[in-house]
Amino acid sequence: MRKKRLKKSVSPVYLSLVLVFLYLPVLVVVVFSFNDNPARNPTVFTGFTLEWYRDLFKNTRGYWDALAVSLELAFWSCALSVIIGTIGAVGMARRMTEGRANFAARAAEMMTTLPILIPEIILGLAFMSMFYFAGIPMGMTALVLSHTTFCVPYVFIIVKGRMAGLDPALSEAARDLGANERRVFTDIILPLIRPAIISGAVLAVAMSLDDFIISVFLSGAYTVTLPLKIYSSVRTGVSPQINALCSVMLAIAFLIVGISKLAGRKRNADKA
Amino acid sequence: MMETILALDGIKKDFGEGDILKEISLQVYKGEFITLLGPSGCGKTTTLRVIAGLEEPTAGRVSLMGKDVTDLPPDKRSVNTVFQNYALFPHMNVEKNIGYGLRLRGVKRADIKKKVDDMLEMLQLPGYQKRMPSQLSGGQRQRVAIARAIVLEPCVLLLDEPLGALDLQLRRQMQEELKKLQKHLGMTFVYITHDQEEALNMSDRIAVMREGRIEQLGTPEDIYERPATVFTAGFIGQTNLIACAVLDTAAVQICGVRVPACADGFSAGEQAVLSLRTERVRYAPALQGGLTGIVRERHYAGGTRRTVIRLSSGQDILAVSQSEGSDDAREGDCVAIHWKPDHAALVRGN
Amino acid sequence: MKKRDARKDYILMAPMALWAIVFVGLSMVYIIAVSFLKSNNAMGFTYQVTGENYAKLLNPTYLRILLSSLSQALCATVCCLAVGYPFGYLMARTKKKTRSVLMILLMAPFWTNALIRIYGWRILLMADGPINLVLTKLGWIQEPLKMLYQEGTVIFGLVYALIPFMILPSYTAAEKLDRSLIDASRDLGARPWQSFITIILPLTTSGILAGCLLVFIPAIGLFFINDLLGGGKLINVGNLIKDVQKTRDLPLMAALGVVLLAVVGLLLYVYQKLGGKSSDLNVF
Repeated sequence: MRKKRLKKSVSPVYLSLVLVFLYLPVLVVVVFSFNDNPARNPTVFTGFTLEWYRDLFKNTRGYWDALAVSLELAFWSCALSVIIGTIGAVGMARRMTEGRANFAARAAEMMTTLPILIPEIILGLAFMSMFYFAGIPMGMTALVLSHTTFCVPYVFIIVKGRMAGLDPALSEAARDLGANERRVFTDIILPLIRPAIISGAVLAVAMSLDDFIISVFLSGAYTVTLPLKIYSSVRTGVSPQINALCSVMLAIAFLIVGISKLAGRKRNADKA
Repeated sequence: MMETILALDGIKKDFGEGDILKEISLQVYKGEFITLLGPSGCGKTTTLRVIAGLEEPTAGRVSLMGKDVTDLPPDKRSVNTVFQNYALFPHMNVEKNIGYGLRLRGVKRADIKKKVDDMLEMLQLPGYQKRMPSQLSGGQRQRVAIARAIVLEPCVLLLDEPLGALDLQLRRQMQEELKKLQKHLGMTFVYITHDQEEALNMSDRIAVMREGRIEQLGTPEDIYERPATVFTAGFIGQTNLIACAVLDTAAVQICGVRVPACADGFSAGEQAVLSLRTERVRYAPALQGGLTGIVRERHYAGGTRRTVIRLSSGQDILAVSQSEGSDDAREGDCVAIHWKPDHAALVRGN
Repeated sequence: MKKRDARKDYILMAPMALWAIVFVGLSMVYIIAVSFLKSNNAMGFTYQVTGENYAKLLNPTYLRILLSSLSQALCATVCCLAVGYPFGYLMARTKKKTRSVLMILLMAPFWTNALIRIYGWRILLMADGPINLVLTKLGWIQEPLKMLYQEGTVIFGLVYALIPFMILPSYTAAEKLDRSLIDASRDLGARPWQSFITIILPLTTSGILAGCLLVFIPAIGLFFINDLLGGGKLINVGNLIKDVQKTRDLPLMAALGVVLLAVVGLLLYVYQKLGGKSSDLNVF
């Protein structure tokens, strides 16, 4: 009896332990963001303060400028990759349902999804050297081009997956009821793949905001993205503003995930 | 004189791995209920898709009300389809699904609403306008799919195994409703099924298909009573297929015994197959000559009784009789088998 | 009608294919080409074909870094497997509601920057950091443990950063596993460990393979973990390549990149030979 109970508790204990492992450093950062210890390497919690948040929002160290750069970069990479990836996925999925995905289509798919499997460090080096050779200056343009390149595969895969899950009879039914190809796309396909496009876009934004390795190679002197800024701050010591920044980012992350889950639940409830 | 509304002329379809349709020619008359019946893979769905314009034939022409529509895309043809798994748009409610075709035609909103309401009334789904497809039962989805197609008043309605996904009881009920609906609307239905009973129940005419060809075309009675080939005879109903030799125009020989049969169009000495429906076989204690066999098995099956009789050739004949008129044949008895000559059909072997 | 259809599909695919050819295909071809050209030690090269860049990589310094990077990545992969696979499996066994909560909890930290999370560990592991503080207070240790700037800590950081890439495919594979198969094997007399070896493991191999690949590949180049937890003393190929902006020997670094590409290619080949499917690698 006791043995059985013990066995039953193994799974939740293990799952929670790993989650603690995942959250421990995040938790520490959040706690230390309220730490009132002015030392250069303040690792002991001495008291509660909001000073670092005040500092952060006053932009004394230029984090907001870096965030603005990152957001601009994320916006353009997301927009470009969603457009390119979605259109490509629709074309590819149509080719697949025909059952005649020929060599060219397969090669295009392979080449598009390749960046997922290439270590970012090599992508960064390759982009840098090629852009250098082609005379594209390091900075926003180079960053947008490279981020778009590694975001397209994710958008493409998500949208294509959704397209493949669509019953081809739906498009046929619409044709049968009098819709031309354009109407089939706007009335049937687009609304049905919209959730996939949105998740692709969200993922693209997340990946772009998070990217550090590729950006290191392409940022140039004046285009400092948030991760680069963070890196230069935390490289050597502990930075209380960074702690505050991380807490803010975490709060926003939970907010977004929560809202999207709630929206998803509402959508499901509508359907069910 | 019946008016031809849809004509298929020498339709061939090749997907690159052999012919799916070898040569389909068919005239469909206005207002009739015609069924394409055949086992899976016989090309019936492909035929339907060619009519709808969802598939382009490799050769042959399709004409609708005398006009050649072979090269018209599906949205330009006045035929509509009820798809096998309904293909209701999951992101639109019932009203939007049914009104979709009307909306594409630019019908006014108020008129669409009126028509959709009438449709739902007719199909006994009043008040379901705002439901999503996922909130409907199988039978209800079926009705919405039918409504969505017939609201456009097509010349021909194509139905691709529309009852395939329903359970047996609902299926029976929907068969009747569909038939009534077709009569009521006076609409031409081209119906696909692999269920021979469904085909016999509902159709004005049946086209039995096999391997990309129409094997036989006729009324249910023609198909059942006078199958033209061994395939049709075997595919529809329960049949004993007995090898025989033609003696003259009125008799054949089975197991060395002369048996009366209608053999018009056959020549003496020809080898043929006699198709004998199981419920038309009669037998009696063997007193004098004729075709005899030994009773091998007897099964009580509710309303009927099944008796297996082995001929001297070794072939088993299945006889299905009403269980109430009990006979006292026992296993091992020798019985004489007989039937009315016009209850058996003589077909050429393949 | 069909012919025109096909052309439309290709037009739709064209921008994506073109983008991939220019930015993926060309950049890879470019880096391979550069790796065979003579360096001018100023981020450029002279048009002179040479194999000397690869020869330079045979220098013990580079060789040691390359090998230690690979062994680091391998260790991290094994640890991720040991921790992440059970997590994915157990997660797939929980109730549906729990599962979606776990999924959110698993993904949410990844919305904050990876740098910050590693930096959190740095605070924790410092000589006067919380962990040492707690352990000293408890009287378990006298002297603060020296946890930072150790190779083990770097591997620990890699495991921390990459474990979701092991958990997600393991979870996907385990979720697809039909529970009744395990019941059937138990019914036929298998002990729990036997049904694990004979049923669960073979049927979740796809997840394990995909997870290993998805952890190993990025682990080779995650240089910032070495920076933050290794204190710049322990460097891996990532650091080396990143520092091209200082060393300015582009062809040499290109050669190093090509070697890594070859390693990745080899892994993909093995993955495919072991029956891995490319679709299993799409965890999002």
